[in-house]
Amino acid sequence: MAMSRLLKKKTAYIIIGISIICLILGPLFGLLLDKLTVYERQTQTVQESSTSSIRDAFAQPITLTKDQKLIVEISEFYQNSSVTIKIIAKSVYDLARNLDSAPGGLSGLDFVYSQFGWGSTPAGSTNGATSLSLPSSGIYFYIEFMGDRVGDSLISWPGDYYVIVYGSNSGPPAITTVYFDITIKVDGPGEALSNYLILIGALILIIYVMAVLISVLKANYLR
Amino acid sequence: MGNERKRSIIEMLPMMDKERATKFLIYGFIVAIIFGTILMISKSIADNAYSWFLLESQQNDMNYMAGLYGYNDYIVKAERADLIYRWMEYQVVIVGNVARIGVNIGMFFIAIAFLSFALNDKFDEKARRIYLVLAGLILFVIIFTVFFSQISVQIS
Repeated sequence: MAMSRLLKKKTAYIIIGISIICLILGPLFGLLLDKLTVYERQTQTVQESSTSSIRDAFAQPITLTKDQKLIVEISEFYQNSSVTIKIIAKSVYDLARNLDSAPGGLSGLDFVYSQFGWGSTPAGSTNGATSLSLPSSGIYFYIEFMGDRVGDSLISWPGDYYVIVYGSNSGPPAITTVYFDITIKVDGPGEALSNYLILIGALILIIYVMAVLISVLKANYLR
Repeated sequence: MGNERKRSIIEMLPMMDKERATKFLIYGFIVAIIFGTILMISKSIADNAYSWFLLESQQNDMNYMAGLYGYNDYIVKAERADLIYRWMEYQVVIVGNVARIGVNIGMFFIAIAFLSFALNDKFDEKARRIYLVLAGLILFVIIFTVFFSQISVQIS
């Protein structure tokens, strides 16, 4: 009785529909939720005083879970501005903030940055660093961070971190504003969600086809 | 009760009327074709896995060069492509075995249908002989593919 219900047109539409929805939504979610933007600002500003006081520096708190990656895209195209980026542990940031330390004296954690180019190998165009200065080292950087690294490969150290940016303006003394562009992203649940939805969709379809086949055979021969 | 039912199905199988035997034949073909198609698709996926892997790797390289993602994302995607490639090659073992059961069940239905035709005295003698030969041939294939793993029927 329950089996013959599977053969009804309405049931077939519903089950196959759910399966197809899962198969379509999986890659779609995978694409949309691959990276989550935590902070994005074109023309972000800090004051020159950020070089001597961490309290004036740009600071974005980030919490990373196991195997989660932090992506920072930073660029510096503004007149007379130069900035330095570091990623430090929350404990280090909290202490430095309490002491009002200069960020230049803080040791940044290891990250890697890529310098993309057509024809260049991924390993050959990736380097490690603990801090980067713009524009002296380059005017655009794509940074990946997980806590630590070995060579160009990241090691996951889940925990709380701060992305700090400080800098100076080489223009007239009266102009103390420093400009830069920054986007901060973390790995989203897209990949896992995509895999689960595709698996669920495919399983529903396979199980349904098998159940229908058994149902047909049972209805005709196995009574 | 259960024994009685089982016996009646077995007894009934080769002594079916023409309509029921035709039904067996059609369903047998449907089951064999469905599972056979699944098996062929599975084999095709396995055979072309490396081509897919090369395509995916090239796409990954180009996405990196275009700056869509960084080195560690590149490595993750390359490793994932490698895993999928290995699954594409291995899935034929699982799907193939399930499909083999399905094809054999389908062929069994077809053989029973032909056997029923052969035992049906409403057909003329010549036709019954042909049906018997066909049933024997199918049973022969089933037996050889079931009991001897080195012998297989390959259609490419």
